[in-house]
Amino acid sequence: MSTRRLLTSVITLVACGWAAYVVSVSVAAQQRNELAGMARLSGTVTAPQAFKAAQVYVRNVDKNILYMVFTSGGQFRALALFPGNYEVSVKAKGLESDVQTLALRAGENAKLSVAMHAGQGVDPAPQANVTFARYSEIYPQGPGLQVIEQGCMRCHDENFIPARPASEDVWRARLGHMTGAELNVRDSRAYNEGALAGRVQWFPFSTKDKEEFIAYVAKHYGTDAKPRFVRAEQEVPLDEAALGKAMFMEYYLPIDPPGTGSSSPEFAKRGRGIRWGQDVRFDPEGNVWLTDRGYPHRLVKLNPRTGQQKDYAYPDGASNGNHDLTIDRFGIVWAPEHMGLKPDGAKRILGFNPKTEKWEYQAPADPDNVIRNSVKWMQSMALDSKSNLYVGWIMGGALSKYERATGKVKVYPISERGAVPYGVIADRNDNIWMAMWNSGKLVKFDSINEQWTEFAPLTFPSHIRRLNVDAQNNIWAAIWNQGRRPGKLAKLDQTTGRFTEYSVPLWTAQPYDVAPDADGNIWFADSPTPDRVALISKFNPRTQTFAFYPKPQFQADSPKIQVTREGAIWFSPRGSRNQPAVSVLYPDMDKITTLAAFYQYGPPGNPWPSPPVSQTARR
Amino acid sequence: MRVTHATTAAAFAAAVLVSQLVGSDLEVGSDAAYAQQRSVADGVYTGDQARRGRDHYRKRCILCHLDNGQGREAEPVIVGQSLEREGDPEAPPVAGEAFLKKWNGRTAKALYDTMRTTMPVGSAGSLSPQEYADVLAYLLELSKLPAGQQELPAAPDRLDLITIKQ
Repeated sequence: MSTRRLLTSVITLVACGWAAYVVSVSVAAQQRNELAGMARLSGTVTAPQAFKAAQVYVRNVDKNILYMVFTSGGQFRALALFPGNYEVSVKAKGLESDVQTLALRAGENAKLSVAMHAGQGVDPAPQANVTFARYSEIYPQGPGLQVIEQGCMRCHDENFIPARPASEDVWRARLGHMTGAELNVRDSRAYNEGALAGRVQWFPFSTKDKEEFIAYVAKHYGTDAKPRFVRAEQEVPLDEAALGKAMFMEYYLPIDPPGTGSSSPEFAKRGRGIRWGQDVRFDPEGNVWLTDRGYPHRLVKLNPRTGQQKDYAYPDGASNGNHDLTIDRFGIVWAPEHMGLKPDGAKRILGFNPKTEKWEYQAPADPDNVIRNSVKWMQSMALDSKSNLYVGWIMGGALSKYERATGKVKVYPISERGAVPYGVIADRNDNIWMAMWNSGKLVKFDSINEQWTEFAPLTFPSHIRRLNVDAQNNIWAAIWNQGRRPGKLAKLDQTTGRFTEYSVPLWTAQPYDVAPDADGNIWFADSPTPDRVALISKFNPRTQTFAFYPKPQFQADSPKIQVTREGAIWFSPRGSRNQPAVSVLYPDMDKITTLAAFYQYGPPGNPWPSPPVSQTARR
Repeated sequence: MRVTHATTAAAFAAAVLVSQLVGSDLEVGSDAAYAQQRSVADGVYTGDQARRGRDHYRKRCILCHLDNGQGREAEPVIVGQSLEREGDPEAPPVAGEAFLKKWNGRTAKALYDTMRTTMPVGSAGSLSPQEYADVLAYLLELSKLPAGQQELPAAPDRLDLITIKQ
């Protein structure tokens, strides 16, 4: 190597090193500024037996915010703690600690030692009348099993059927529901009804199959059977070093006082008396918005920098159904109506203006009655580059386009038979993509030419709920329950039209939503099984490796995740019955510069810069 | 041709007359039987009627209300089971103690009208009046109430004379 080349290399190395130093100093400085008034906590956890990645719960009792971190080598740390009073406890498998209390002051860096003893630990307490068994015990070989594995488990997973023992008559009625036996005398009432009807289903389901199914379930899951679950025989692979850097936060929703809100006489029974977080999105100011699907329906605005929450009731009784939300580049929060207390009522596309705190947009979503079923409701939506809104009719099999400039709505029936569109996203070319809940196909709507194209992943038929798009315009989808087959991530390369699938190395994986981060990793929410914790998981496409992060609430599945520009993963623990919340996972707490949540390129959260939009686009 | 028409008309008229005479006894019992207030404990349906009702129940009701009318309460909180329950709605018990307690003191007409105007969900009124009465008879049988010699009528004014008691 010549002296000149050596000198060049040295200079390059020094420059790179200096740049890295500047960046790290800059991040550290930002962290110091934003988090200056916060506290830190670190410490040691001991136990009479070895443990791995114990979960340390640091609960701010003043603000009702939980921080959860993991031990690594028996050490833990948490940061960005709001000053106030705390309760600290630790759990691991078969181990738990007593609760310790402490008060943290602004800027304090507190230390704590915690000792665990034998106890229930992180696993849920055993439930009466619920037993676990091996898959082969619950599903003995025999005629009918293939129908269950290929026809039922595709959507229901392996626990649905054995958890619901019933008589042959009831099983026949259930099969009738799935095959649409009633649909010759009335309209469909739910999008799962008739999903196995002869002319629309994707699994070859003959009359012989039906009889074998009935005989099998009546024999193994009959009236005398006890509810059973398939035991998760594989431990979740945990990387303790990686988990030692991670921190979860949960901002709990205030529970309504008795007799009010969700526990009011009007809503207590139908709404199950609970608040019920669904999807989250970020606004331009770094606030996180949540749809609360409990009754009354509410939008929740969380300022993560303070923990302050504010609720906004949906219009007209707050009971006409809600599910997803999205926020456009003008800050309008869009929320289409879903099932609600009047499933057969007229449904609208609602838009909430946070500045006026009013529902300024209330557009009938099928003004020309294109969808002929009397029961129809919307779910997910996406925004194109012109801020036009596209809303999928999960009950109705169609797509509504709300033109932002004119306020006009046009409805497009989806090309696929029996379509049940779940997630909806827009790609970089303003194509609208939808995940077909019923078949596992991806469907593309060319919004310019108004044409449909269907794409079947390698694993087909399957069950896909959510999908997303990465910075390279690849489409990613999470293939949901597969029974004895592992859950998978599927990538469609739009330039080649080729699918690639990646099996999650966890047999119980039930991937739900997928979302790319700025580094190209694909994050996904993984629903729990009865004895396997709910997860937020990461797939690194470059190394083709997976990482798993157990969530603070064991049973709380999450349908939707959103990723910040700093790589924080926001979600709501939807499955939580007692602790509805807005939650976030910081995979590396040292990268936190703010608790606020920003998309890399602002709302609506595309992984590429948005082109300028004229104000005239806004009606 | 005229003879044939006349014969047919006469036969039809006779059939109508016979069915009215016979049907009134078979289906709704004698007027005297319903001239006074009765209770569901007084044998207000027949075993045959309950069997017909069971057939209708198995086709139209059992999915939600299950085998013995126990209904489907809010699903038990099972770890790992999502709260998502669309298409799998809660259904109240339609037989047994809780059911009788709920309807205690009200009339069979009130229950019959509720069934006819709300059930099955999404296709209320899709059974015939007689079929609704038959299903109601089956619900009484499931509730351990005794059968009698006369069928439960599909006549609201007569059902109004039958009181539901625990």
